[in-house]
Amino acid sequence: MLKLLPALLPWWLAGPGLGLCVAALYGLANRRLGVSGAWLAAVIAPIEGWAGERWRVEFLAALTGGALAAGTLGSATRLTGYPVLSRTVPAAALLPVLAAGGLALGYGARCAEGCTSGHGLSGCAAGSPDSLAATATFFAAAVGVTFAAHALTGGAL
Amino acid sequence: MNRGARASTIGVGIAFGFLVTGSGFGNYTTIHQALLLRSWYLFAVFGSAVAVAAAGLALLRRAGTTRYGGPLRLPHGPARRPHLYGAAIFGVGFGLTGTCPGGAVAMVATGGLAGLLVLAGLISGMWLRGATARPAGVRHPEIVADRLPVQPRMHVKDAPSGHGGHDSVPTLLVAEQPGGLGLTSRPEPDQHRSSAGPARRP
Repeated sequence: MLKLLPALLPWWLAGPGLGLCVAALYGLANRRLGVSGAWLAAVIAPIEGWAGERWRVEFLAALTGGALAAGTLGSATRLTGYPVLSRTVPAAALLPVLAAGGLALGYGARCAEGCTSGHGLSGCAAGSPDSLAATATFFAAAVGVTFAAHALTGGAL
Repeated sequence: MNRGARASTIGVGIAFGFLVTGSGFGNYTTIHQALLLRSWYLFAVFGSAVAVAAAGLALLRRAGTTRYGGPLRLPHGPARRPHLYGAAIFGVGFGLTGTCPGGAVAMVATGGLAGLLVLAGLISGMWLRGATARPAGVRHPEIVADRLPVQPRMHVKDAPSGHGGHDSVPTLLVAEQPGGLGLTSRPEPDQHRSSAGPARRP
């Protein structure tokens, strides 16, 4: 909004910075950084009636604060979040696709016990076999689905 | 969890949210171009993040301890079937929405209100997994893994005594019993050592 940040931070700044976050959370608090676990503790735990770990809820709140800070300082303000997709796919189809995609993210992350951050960053950095397998699998599936969507829309996506 | 650890969690959370948003994880176009293998930006971010984190963890392994959280405990678990089919389902969602549980927060934070729909789906999906896994838990009350926070099986370098441990997951390791949720592989013995409390045995 304030356009004080470039549209994308240079990879050599953002990547090592994210890596340091993972190492710092282990080195300081001895915890695995993972966002799906934070959602689970913050929202699902109260629904299902078990005690979610408090630090996960605080982590999610802090993450949201950091994201809002970057959104405010940065250049991007997109009212849908899907400029290309909403031009290609009619809204009546787009909204169910996004909801179904979200459903797959949530179901899959809980099944796999982690997501892009928990398995992809933290678990892979620790060399954990389950994380390495999960990360290879979800990247392969995501690339496959993206190529399929590209083919089905005649290259529009 | 002590004050130092909680403050660390909050500090890391702010930095992580800032960097995830700044590196375009909340931007459909950035993710989509990467998944079409047309842009290497995201892979450069991801790869350098894992490399730096791995280097940091290597140093931490040598120290063996953490500032506020006691002896270092890193995840080390075998790949099981739910990891693979869960990750495959997750990947389909990742490809369709061009975002992930953290990226969706970044999307909403940059004005992408459709991210709210993705987040609603995410919550529903997590709930659905818990609801569909519950019958097994009813038949076998010791099987509770899927109702617990995402928590890796830990490899313990040192004796866990004196460590704050998990706040709410003392029974996690019991869920590793063979046969639970259709799993057939046998848990490795050393995974049982990280239980923060006395594990309930079936």
